Amino acid sequence: MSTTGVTTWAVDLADVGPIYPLQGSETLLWILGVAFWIGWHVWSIRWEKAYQKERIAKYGDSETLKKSLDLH
Amino acid sequence: MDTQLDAITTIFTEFYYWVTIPLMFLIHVGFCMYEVGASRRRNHLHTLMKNSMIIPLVTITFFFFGWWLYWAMPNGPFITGGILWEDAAANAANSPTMGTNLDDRITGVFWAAFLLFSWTAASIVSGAVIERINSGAFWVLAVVIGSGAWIIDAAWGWHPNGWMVQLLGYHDAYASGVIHAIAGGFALGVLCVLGPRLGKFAPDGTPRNILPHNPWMVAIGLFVIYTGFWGFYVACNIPIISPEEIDGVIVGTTWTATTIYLTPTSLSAITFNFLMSLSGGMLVAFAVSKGDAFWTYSGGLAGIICASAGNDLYHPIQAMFVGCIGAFVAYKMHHFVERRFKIDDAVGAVAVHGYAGFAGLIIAGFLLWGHPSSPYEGYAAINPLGQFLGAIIMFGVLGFLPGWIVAKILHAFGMLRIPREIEILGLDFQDMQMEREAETEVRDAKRALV
Repeated sequence: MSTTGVTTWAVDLADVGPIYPLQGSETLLWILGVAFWIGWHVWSIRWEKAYQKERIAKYGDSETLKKSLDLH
Repeated sequence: MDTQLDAITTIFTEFYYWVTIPLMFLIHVGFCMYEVGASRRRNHLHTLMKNSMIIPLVTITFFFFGWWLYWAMPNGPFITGGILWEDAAANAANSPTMGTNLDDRITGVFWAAFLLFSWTAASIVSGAVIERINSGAFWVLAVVIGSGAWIIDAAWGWHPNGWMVQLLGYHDAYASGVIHAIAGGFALGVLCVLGPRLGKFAPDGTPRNILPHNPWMVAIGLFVIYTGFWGFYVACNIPIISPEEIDGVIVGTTWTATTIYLTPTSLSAITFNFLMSLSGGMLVAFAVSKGDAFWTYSGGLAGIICASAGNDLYHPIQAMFVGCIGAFVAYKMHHFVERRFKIDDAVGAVAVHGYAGFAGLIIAGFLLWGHPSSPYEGYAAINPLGQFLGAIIMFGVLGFLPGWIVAKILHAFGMLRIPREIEILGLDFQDMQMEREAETEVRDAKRALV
């Protein structure tokens, strides 16, 4: 038994195709991958919004804003 | 790989494309350096991360669906035929050939060579929008161009059987349009919605110069892009192929290098023409910008980009003059559009890639008029009208429009632009404050020792 389907290399390589593990799960992997990608976008947009909100609460008063222009 | 010749050709081709990948990686390194150098110090870390995250996001989406689009869409669909389900199936993310497979040794290498073009398309847009776009919004736009718009345009106009090649005689060997004009058009579409950086224009509309925080980094970044472009050019060719394998009208037994359209060219031709168009671009850019370093380097790039559509065929001196035109067009158009339409393109990306690429397609239509666009019978020959329509499709239909529409949607949800306070503070304000406090603490500690 082997997760890759290969149990020995005593074969003619012309007869060997895919050798990655868990063949047959490609579509499931694709669905999981797409969900991960979309989830990452949602997370990053929310995170960035929260990050900016926090910065504005901390430094967004007009005094700090004016000072910031000369700081960096 | 059942004969020795087969094995040598396969291994040579695999290795040939594989070498282009690390070379093209340098384009992204160069874009990051150039973009970070062009930003102000208060924004540089965010600018770096905005561009860097193109790499993972475009990579995974190009695996999930971008590569499939290239093989499925050459007919439009429904212009010269339907969706090519059969051709595309082997390039879908769930195909056994998209993984470790002893029966298919080259798909991953081809995929990566195309993927690096995808990063480039997204990275071109990234520079134009620095210092005021939300990173999250930009990353959505990067996927739209990197794994969507550009690869559809490649299927249409950069595929041996693309409908634009068949019907229009579209010829764009090294991607004046399929990468540069589309990315420039896309960037312009986004910029129209995004608006300029605060303070860019005086109340009377006069543009103000926002200087790069590190001109050296900008210059080195552009040099690194030049270096990476070698990989880009080489990746656009098929290094060696027999007439039999082309299966077109070429007779005899002479093997040749070809463009993506399977039309013969040589490595020698593109080496001459790359360097001559770069030189033409730099010479004219130096002259028109009166020695401005940023524009001289950018002009070299505009020169290559403008000549790229026909650099498989031009004489080197023609390539040089086309490069001269590219640099002139990019410089003049950038300043005209900036003044007239108040478009703040922070790094001149729309000009260098968009306008120079657009001009290059049209010039190729005249210079290569009547040359066969394909080794197959029944395809339109290269012609000025086909190239002009191709330029409109690349810059306008697949570039400007998707950029503008997606930016409008993001803007409608309040996701496109950073809040005004953050733009005034600078995106890296907190990091810079912490750095400043840490430096002060160390300085005070040293002072106490004196």
